Amino acid sequence: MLESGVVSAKPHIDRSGPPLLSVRGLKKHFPIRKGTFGRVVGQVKAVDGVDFDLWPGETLGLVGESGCGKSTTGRAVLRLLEPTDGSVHFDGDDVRALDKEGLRKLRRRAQFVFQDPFGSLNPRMSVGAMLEEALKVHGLGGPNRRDRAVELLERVGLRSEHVDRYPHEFSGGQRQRLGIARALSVEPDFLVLDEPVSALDVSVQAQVVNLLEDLQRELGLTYLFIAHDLALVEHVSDRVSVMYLGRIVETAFSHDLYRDPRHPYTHALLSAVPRPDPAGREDRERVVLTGDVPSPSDPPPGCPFHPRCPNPRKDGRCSTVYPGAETAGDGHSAACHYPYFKV
Amino acid sequence: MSDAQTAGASLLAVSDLRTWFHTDQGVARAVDGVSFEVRGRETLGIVGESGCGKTVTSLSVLGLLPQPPAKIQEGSSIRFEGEELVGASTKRMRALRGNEISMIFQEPMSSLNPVYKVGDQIGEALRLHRGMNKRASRAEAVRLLTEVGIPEPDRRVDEYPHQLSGGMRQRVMIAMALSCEPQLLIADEPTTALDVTIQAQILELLASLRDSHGMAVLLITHDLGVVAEVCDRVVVMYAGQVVETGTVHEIFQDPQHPYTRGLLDSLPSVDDPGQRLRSIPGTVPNPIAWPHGCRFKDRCSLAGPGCEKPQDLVELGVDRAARCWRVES
Repeated sequence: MLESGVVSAKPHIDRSGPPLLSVRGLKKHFPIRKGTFGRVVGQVKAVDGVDFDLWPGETLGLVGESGCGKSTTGRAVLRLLEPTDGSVHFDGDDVRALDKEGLRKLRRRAQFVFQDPFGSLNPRMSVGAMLEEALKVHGLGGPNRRDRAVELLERVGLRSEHVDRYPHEFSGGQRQRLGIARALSVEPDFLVLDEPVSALDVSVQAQVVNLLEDLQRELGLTYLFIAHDLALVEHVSDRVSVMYLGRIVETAFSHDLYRDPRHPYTHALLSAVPRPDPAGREDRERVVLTGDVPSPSDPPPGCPFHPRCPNPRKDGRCSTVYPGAETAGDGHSAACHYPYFKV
Repeated sequence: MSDAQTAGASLLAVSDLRTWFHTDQGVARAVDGVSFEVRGRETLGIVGESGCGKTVTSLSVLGLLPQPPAKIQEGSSIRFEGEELVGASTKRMRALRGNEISMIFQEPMSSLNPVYKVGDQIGEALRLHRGMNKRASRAEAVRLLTEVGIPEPDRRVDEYPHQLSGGMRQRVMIAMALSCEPQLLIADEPTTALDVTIQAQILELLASLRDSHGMAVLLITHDLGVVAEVCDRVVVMYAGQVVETGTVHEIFQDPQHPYTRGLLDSLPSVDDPGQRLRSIPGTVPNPIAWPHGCRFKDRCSLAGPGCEKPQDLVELGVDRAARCWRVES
């Protein structure tokens, strides 16, 4: 395990080969039912046409405010929620066409880590039993399952004697380490991390983020990192996608997105993040958006952001035509008719 | 904002506050000797991680802790405009709360009554504290909703809390807190449940209301970014104690206590995102058994001889102190 201060460079990510995960036109709509007979009166368009690619060894950050569809996207990709439309390919296989057996195989390679370490661990199971169960389900570990469980605990920075303890005996940070150990037990290539550190205190957050980065380097893992904390997402991600009202509005390399946001929403979002630096706070440029996010059951026509958009070039096209996300030569895409460009 | 430090006279003075809880496991010394002062028109931030005692401190000031299990210990003092609040009668505290001191909480949905209209809830405080009749209180509620930036206040005043978004509910809470023109507003994690764009709106609203109403704000938060954006002075708490105080610039640019430094270092930096985060090892200790001597020493990279004895707050200047013997040299 790497200790603080030791920095080993992240291996170069080869994006010329096929992506590990490829998502096109992904939609997840939830019906709104009313009355005694559960008549469907509308659809909540939680995810409404999402495209992205994720290459081996890469971390893609998915950010956005609550209700933008980032968690639903993470779940629909691995069919924890059945997508309404679109395609998902994992290592070339069509995920939506998989039968039960195929799904089981997929989930050996692709695992989840959830936000709430309290809610996602069984309180009646010892840590050892929990880790051994995951191995048993997937026919792994053979007769030495317990040794493997101890090895996993040590891998995530816990001690071997923790194997006989129960979840309530652990602190929040330790529980999140347990969630990671359970996800790693089946030796996956890919993890969907859904707000993995947002329930933790700042000092403990950093411990868990460092652990995730170490594991990625050592095991060559690929991450879809879903979070609302923009500074944290910049820190962990190679590329970042920003979501608003069920769609990705901007994707770029992490460095470019934070220095050169092109979509007016990204621009406003970044300017709203409080900076832990009081110097010059009075004259910092801040775009305060007016109003609230519209309801995903009745998104505005055209660009979903247009009612709140502060872009001075906004015109009639914005309220009628949905802007496609054209990718510029630098791998930076923004779904906006009039994106901002730095001069 | 900048003249607050000099202009304000002491409004709230907390001195050696000890709020302990008697539990089956033992005595939890949640707040264990906390002193600070809030002056007129300033924003004082109390920052710390979960379990450091920041919320218990604010609830002690308001007299909102059930006793037992809580017990404010002998020798603790909370003075508001010179009046001692420790031991004050329930009746007196009720008159102060809402009138002179108001509070807003993290989760507005659980602080609003779901079965009453927003206007009735704001109006209740106006009728109780300002003796208004029904019609006058409704008109005043509409005016307050306008002031906190709620669109269509005439319509919203007749809506129920569930019909409002999270940001609007927090605006309603602020309208209620403002209704009696308090001198001190205690805001306990007022934006933690909100998205960043809504958080920015609420922080801006709080700052402009503080200036227009001339009130002081005691802001309690775990978010160092929020502190850096809005506070004049900062109190950093750890394990039931104040570990550092200073102006917001001193705390962020020249932190003295190893815990404050550790907290700031553990934030992802915008300038070098490729760097490994520097974390503080271990976890926050248990209030039933605070560590002996310096309470931070088990997690401190500088711990050594001298740290085994209890640490005093070392004065470093006007309103500037740190609880670590090393800062003396």
